[in-house]
Parts: sequence; structure tokens; C-alpha cells
Amino acid sequence: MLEVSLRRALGGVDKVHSKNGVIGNATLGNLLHKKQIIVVDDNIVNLKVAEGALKKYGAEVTCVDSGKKAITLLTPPHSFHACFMDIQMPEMDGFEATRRIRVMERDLNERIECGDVPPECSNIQRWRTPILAMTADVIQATHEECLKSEMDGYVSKPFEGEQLYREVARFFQNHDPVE
Amino acid sequence: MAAAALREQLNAHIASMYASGMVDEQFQQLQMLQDDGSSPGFVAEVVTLFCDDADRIITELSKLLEQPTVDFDKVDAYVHQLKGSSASVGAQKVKFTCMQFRQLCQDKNRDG
Repeated sequence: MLEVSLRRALGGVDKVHSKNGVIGNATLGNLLHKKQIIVVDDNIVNLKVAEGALKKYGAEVTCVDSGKKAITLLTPPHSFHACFMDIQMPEMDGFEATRRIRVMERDLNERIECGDVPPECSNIQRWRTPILAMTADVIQATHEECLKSEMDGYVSKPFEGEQLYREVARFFQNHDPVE
Repeated sequence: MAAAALREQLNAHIASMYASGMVDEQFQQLQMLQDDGSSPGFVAEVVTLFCDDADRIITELSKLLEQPTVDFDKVDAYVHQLKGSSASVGAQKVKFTCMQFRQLCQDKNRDG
């Protein structure tokens, strides 16, 4: 089903790759290939399935089970290209974790603007890691609420190929995380 | 020969899981994640993880439900977890049962 929907989404661009059964994954594979992705979910089964789906497209996946751990790993500078974040988690939800990450990024960006650049960021003008909400409940994660917490969009859980492609394409084609 | 017979048996078993509504298309997604050969054993790994986790949650739920005063918020939180993981593996019957169960939790009705 995933492959069928991807093939539909991609309009048969991947004719070369449709041999040996790998249909339509090439474009999403290219977008995600070797990208460092962090997945945040308190549910270990969801974490495993999301990891499997993203690895299939060649992403290098790091899993964490809490918003606090995500904040630690996403404290800039870091080497992650994007983050998939569960909304509903105990202790700290995905919206709050994202807000805190954005505060840290702004602090660093201000330092960079002032010329106070840590050596790791010498070729970076502005930090902003794309963060996508993952939610089983679309009502809970309205687009506005995601934007308010400075998330970049959302994907439904469990992952659905066409939607994942659309969202990932949006931020990897339009803005490079390292600008 | 033996391998072919086993494979046929496996396919028949999987077909019956779909036919009975035990699993849905999400289970098929898991199979497809494994089918390109890059991650053999992926389905088994995820399903084992799911069963162990479900076992843990059900133990916690029975403890909670035995209390003289049932903390329905806690019960609801556990059922929410089980609903999430059953949706992820495509365990459709478990997922539907969780959804019903949560509705009853919200009504705070122990008989449900």
C-alpha cells in the first residue's frame, strides 16, 4: 500500500527503480538518504515502527522516549537534520519540548548574529531544525497549534507513505537545515 | 520442498489473520518494510515488542482494576498506550477494543 501510494504520488518518475520490486522509494530515499533523523515517542512499539519506516528510506535514525531527552540531543550545535516528535507524552508533551528547543536555537542564533560563533557553527548563519509532530489524533494537532509551538507540520501515526513524503519533501526541498 | 510447504502454511495463516479482522493494512505496511530484505526479522521483532509491552500493560491494568477505588485516569493512560502500539502494528481487534475501553473509562464505569 505504501509503495502503491508512493508510486501514485510520484507519478511514475521511478521507472528505473521499479525493477526488483523497489517501486517508488527512490525519491523519498533520495530525500532521506543519510539524513540524521531523531524520533521522539514514549511508546517503544511506535518508536520501533517509525524507525523501521525511516530506515527503509536510508535515513540514520536515533530514537528517544521523552521530550527531555530530545531537548538534550537537539541542543544546538548538533548533527540532526530533522525530528519527528510525538505530541502526547507524559511529563513533557511534544509542543512544550519544541518550544524549549526553539528558545535554545534563538539564543544561539543571537550569539551568531553578534559574531560570537562557536567553532562548530562557523559555516552556519541560522539554526532551525525541522520538527514534525506525529499524532494519531488529527484534531489534537491542528495546523495552528503546531505553528504556535513552532513545529513545521505533522504526520499521522502510524506513518503513511504519501503523507510522509509530502511533509519531508516540503522541508528538505525548500529549506536546508544548515542554511 | 519443506520450505515451500512452510511458506504456504505461513501465507495461509496470514491470510486468515486478515480475513478475521485480527490485523489491518498497517500489518501489511510492516511486512513491506521487511520485504526488501534489508531488515529480515523486522516483523517478528516489532510483534514481540508489542506482545511484551501489551503483557506489561495488561498486568498493570488488572492491578488497577482490583483496587477498591479505581483510578480511571491511570487506567485510561495505560489503555491509550496499548491503543497506540496496537495501531502501529496493525492489531486491529486490540485497537478497537482499546477505543471502546477508553470510552467506558471516560464514563467512569467499572462494569464496562
